[in-house]
Amino acid sequence: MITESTWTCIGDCKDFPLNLGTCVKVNDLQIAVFNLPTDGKWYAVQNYNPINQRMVLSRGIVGDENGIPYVACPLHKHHYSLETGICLTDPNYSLQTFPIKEVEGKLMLSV
Amino acid sequence: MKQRVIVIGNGMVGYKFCERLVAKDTDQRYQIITFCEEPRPAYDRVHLSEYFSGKAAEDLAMAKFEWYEENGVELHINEKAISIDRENKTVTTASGKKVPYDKLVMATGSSAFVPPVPGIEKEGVFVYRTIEDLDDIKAYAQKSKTCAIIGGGLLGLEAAKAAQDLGMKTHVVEFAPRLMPRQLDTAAGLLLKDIIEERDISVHLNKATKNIAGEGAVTAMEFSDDTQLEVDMIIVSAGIRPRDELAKEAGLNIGERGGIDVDSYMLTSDPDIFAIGECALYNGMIYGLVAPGYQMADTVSDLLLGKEASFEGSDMSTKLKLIGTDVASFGAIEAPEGSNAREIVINDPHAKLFKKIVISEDGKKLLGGILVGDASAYGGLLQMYQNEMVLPPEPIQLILPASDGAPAMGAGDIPDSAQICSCEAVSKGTICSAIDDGCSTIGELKACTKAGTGCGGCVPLMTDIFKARMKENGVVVSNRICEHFDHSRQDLYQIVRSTGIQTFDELIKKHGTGLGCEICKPAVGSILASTWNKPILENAPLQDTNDAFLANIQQDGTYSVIPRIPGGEITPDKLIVIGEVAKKYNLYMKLTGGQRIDLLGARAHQLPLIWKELIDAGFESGHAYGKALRTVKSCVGSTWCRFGVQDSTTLAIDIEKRYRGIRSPHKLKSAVSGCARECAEARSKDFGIIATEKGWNLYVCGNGGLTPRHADLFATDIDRETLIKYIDRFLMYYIKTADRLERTSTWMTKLEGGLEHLQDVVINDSLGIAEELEAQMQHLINTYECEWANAINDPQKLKRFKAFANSDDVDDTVEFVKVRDQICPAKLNETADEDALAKT
Ligand code: SRM
Ligand SMILES: Cc1cc2nc3c(=O)[nH]c(=O)nc-3n(C[C@H](O)[C@H](O)[C@H](O)COP(=O)(O)OP(=O)(O)OC[C@H]3O[C@@H](n4cnc5c(N)ncnc54)[C@H](O)[C@@H]3O)c2cc1C
Ligand code: SF4
Ligand code: FES
Repeated sequence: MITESTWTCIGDCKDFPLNLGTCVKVNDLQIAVFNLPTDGKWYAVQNYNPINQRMVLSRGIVGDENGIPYVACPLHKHHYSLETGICLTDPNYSLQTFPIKEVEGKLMLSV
Repeated sequence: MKQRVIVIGNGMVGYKFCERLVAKDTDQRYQIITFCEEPRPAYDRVHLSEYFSGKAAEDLAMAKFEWYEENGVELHINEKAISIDRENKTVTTASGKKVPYDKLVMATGSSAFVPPVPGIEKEGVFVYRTIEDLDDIKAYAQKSKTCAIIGGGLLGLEAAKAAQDLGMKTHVVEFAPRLMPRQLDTAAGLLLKDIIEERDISVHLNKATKNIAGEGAVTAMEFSDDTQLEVDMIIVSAGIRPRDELAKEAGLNIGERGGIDVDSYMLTSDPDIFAIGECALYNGMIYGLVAPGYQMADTVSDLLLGKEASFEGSDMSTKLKLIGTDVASFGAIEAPEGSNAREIVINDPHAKLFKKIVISEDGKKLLGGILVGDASAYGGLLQMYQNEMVLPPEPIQLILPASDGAPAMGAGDIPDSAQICSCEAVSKGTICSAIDDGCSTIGELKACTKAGTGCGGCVPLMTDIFKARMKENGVVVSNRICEHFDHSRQDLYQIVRSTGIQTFDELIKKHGTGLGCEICKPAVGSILASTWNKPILENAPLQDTNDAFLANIQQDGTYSVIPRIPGGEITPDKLIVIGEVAKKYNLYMKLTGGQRIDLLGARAHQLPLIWKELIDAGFESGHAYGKALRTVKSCVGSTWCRFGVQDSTTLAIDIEKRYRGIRSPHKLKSAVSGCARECAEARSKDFGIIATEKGWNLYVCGNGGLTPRHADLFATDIDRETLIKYIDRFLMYYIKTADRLERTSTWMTKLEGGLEHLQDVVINDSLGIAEELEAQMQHLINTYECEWANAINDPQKLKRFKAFANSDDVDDTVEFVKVRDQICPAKLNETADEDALAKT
């Protein structure tokens, strides 16, 4: 199934519910994956919130702000853009984002 | 050719000057260039402490970068001006730029004054002025347990609150014999000390620091009376020192004790150089507040455009919330010596209240005053003082506690010409016309008039004026829930009920736009639950933080578990089960303030396992995570107590079971007491019940929390059946008409007609909806299901609790330390501690 060497399969798309975040672990990295009904549809960012230094972002609620899809930290509601990883409430911070795609029903992540 | 104005310093006042000049300079006569030493453009220093409570640096910004760009203001951040050549009229910066000017404005502000105590240069000594200072303090606080603040003035006390919030035992060390010596008199200072010490901040008065001890880093302070205080960290807040170094070097006149000398045109000794804000010395005085600084900025911007203007001094009135207490003072804080002026004082150390007004000998004019503990009268008093209004015949009325209702002065009594916002010089008339011209929220009003955007002290009065004016104009205040829906929560509730919509997707498609956000999603989730009562995880994407995992998230990302213990009654066997479960999963255990037991430190993947064991033993969800009924506290009542007149325990248990699981706009709490001694504290609840000889008294709309309020007596001596009927109707009416996150007390005080209206609807069925409300409540009661029992039997829902979708590993980043024989979250720097437990 794996078509390019850098891509890792993280499971079946159907195991990642719509409008929610799900956490996966790739090489000891915790990555938060989001399934949104927007054009890109899939997003992947680090699970670690650099502001409060906790592994929590996959558990945040998602939404959009002026059309930018974001995740809100479940602890203190920092908003991070899912597209760029930039913190919308404090641009001094940003998250690493990861390429993610769907291939024949499987979800592939490049770390 | 445009004239060039250089502004040195882009702080609050420097920025305000740019803003004013840009707004007034419609012919674009001036090109503004501003140098900003800090790494970011001007931000709101007044609200600096909010940086600790979660505000981002960007939220504090006075204006975005784009503002400077759009308005042609040349902004150089990270660029310090290092010299002024007055002869050739140029400014040189640290990076070597040499820039010519026609007019120069010094707005260099001030820096914290650090007294030359031996050892003050040690590691662990900080000042409290910039965002960078706060970052440093926060980082150092992580490894510190105690902190002392040098200086018990206004800023010192603010810093003390911040230090305490960072988790440190906090001391305030003041040289003078009282706190806030500039704003308070002796009695008020003493009271404030009491209040602050009650909040666990120690206050040391009459203390001069003679040495700061420690090898490299601070370990203790030594005082001139040979006592000492062990501390890990010090924040110096001993006053401010105007930044006049650049002006001094350029040969401008400087005051004896610092500050750039200016006249009433804010001109320095050079006719092309102005100084404004905290660096300027006017009439021998440095004004350490924003309002006078803004007035100075206004004056200079007018003068540059050829308008007549001058600064004639300003008063130092202030109102603050310090460590949770209102403190305000204005004008003369004591009768001026030899003046025959009189002081009226209310000093109640028991209620922690101090109010004083100073009035003229003839009792006609207000000269000044002090308020500690309750400053609600401040807005009105300040108006009287500033506008020299004639006092009422009994001036004491102005400060008597407002127990019997009406405030001494309403928004309507204030003349149109009165200045409401002194920072921005906005009159009541201006505010009213802005409202008439369409400002329909306080936010819009602020944006349009700028009132309330400085120190914020005028916002309560402005809000009163806003409300009164809107009402006069017959306008209904818009309460659109967020950018995704043009409806209020109440509208959305009606839409859901009347259309039968069952999902957020359908609702947002038909009645909103976009994806939604953390405001509208949980609100709609709650509405759907209050209406259709499906287990909330069927709508998992709508649930925020706590509801999303049916548990309260803790600071380290773990969760708490609170099983329902109706009425607080529990058998020994069940208690043992809780203990065993806690032991098995190594959870921290504590009794809550709601008569039940909290188990903390569970990882998400453990939650279903823990709940399975609890449910097998007969427990159910306690909804501690939901905007739902929490607890119904009880007392032992007539069953045991020698005073009890009714069986309060049974009633509490029955009520808790009746309303358990019901979702509402905010959480709901209740209690039942067996007699008027009120051991269950029912009058602090959303609905509380107190037994009488003849039946029950029902009280409604009380709460503890942030703004405590005693519940109001709603119905007297009613029987059990009537009681339940009233509560059914009351709760359903609340669910139907309250705003999101509005407790019953706020809801009721906002309801047109207040308590009486509520009694009319619930008792007399004035709206003819009582039957409908009862039926809706009955539906919720009939469809109750424990959401944890539902979740552990649904493999689809259980998937959400796994740490990782692609692996069975557990999250190994969570660590605990041991405190008093139980686990506690490891602080971020504590993980290597020898106390650290093996990862569980
Ligand atoms: C556990 C407990 C403290 C304790 O150790 O005793 C507690 C813990 C929390 N309280 Fe509380 N409150 C607890 C009793 C209270 C009480 C006392 C009471 O209920 O008799 C009050 C004041 C009474 C009242 O609400 O009127 C109280 C007033 C608050 C408030 C302020 C509410 C307000 O209207 O101002 C909040 C914040 C909020 O809800 O927005 C809050 C919020 C919280 C949250 C939920 C914060 C959060 O979102 O995580 C805390 C959850 C910690 C956790 O995981 O358990 N808690 N909280 C108590 C749980 C009682 C229970 O058995 O369910
Ligand atoms: C924690 C705190 C709470 C406060 N609370 C209140 C309150 O409740 N109410 C109230 O009225 N006031 C309050 N104040 C005071 C208020 O913040 C100040 O009065 C106000 O900021 C003064 O504005 P300013 O522009 O004169 O000085 P500042 O805001 O200090 O700005 C001066 C700027 O100039 C820069 N600068 C200095 N020299 C140079 C140079 N050579 N080149 C380039 N840049 C330079 C500085 O780095 C700084 O950014 C508070 C202050 C603090 C610190
Ligand atoms: S409220 Fe009355 S009945 Fe209940 S425990 Fe207290 S004294 Fe006894
Ligand atoms: S008085 Fe300071 S903001 Fe209005």
